[in-house]
Amino acid sequence: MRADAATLLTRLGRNDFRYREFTDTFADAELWPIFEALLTDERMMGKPQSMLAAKEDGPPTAGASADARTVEPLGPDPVSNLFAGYARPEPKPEPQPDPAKGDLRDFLNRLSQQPRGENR
Amino acid sequence: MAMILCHSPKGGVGTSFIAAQLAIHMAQRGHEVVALDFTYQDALKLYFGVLPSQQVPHIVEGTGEATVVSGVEIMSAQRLNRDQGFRNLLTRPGASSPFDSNKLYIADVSAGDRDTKELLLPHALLHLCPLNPRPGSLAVLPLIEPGTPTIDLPKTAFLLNMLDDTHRLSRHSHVFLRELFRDKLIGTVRRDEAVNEAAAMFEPLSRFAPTSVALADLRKLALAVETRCGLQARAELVKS
Repeated sequence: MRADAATLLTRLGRNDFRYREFTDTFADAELWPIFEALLTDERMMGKPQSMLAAKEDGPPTAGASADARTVEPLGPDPVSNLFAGYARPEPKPEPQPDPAKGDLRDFLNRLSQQPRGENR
Repeated sequence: MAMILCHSPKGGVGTSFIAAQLAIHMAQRGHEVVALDFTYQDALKLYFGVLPSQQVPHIVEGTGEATVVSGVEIMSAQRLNRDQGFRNLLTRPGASSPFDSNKLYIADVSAGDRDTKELLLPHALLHLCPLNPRPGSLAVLPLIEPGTPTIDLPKTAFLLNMLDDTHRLSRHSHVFLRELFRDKLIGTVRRDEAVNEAAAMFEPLSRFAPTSVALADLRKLALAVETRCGLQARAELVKS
């Protein structure tokens, strides 16, 4: 122990220091760009899972094992769906959160909603 | 028994210090520990209080007397990755690991020595990757294991070293890494200048600054590593 620290402890009549922790609550953390860069790096997080892959990996949804007769057809003319790929593409749906990584994206969202400089 | 590989993709994060302290704390918990210094810098022994001029025996050449400090046998393993016999030992298909003995090996590998890291990793029970709360350390996280996303690395546990709660980026990095890695963030060690001062005095930290805040964190780290590696039985056996 350093001499000045030992002297201070002697003067205080103590044997040890108490350490104060300056911990942030979760909501106080900021989204620094370096965190965002890591979260969007495939080498770090892996490739985002497609909707289909997420469905295949996930548990069957309620009713999925029900009688096939209850399944709605894809559209009024299922045959025309075969050629849908040749039509003008529909706008892509928003990517669904990967169930395994959804909490991380929530985390990112929560952090990004924090006004910058709030805790400076 | 097992080998724990200490390697970070970024130098200067305190890997040798962590390796030395993990070895000391595991020895205190009853394990028979050998600290293997694979680094060119030969810096591991510094954190045991051994002078730079004092040679520790080489694991293959076996020259010099055994160096045991704080209950840990310290050995140099410099240039071992270039030893063909050693490479064969580790890469021979179906061969048992040379680290399967009743000892616990703690390997300290330099940041830049990816060759040794790759050689040892298949034989490691745990890859302990020290980080510090600085951009240079965080930015290299995607580089730990090319081809495998960092959050999916099965053998890797992370340790946040030099944590300083009085600094904003340090606090936020801690929150971020905790959320990112969850139980793969196996511990944190708070920054304490006594660590450097002890090394400069060639004294083990526990003797130089027994009340160091870093020591309390290192004790927790050793417990967490034991649990993670399933080694607690031996410590409990020694206690009883």
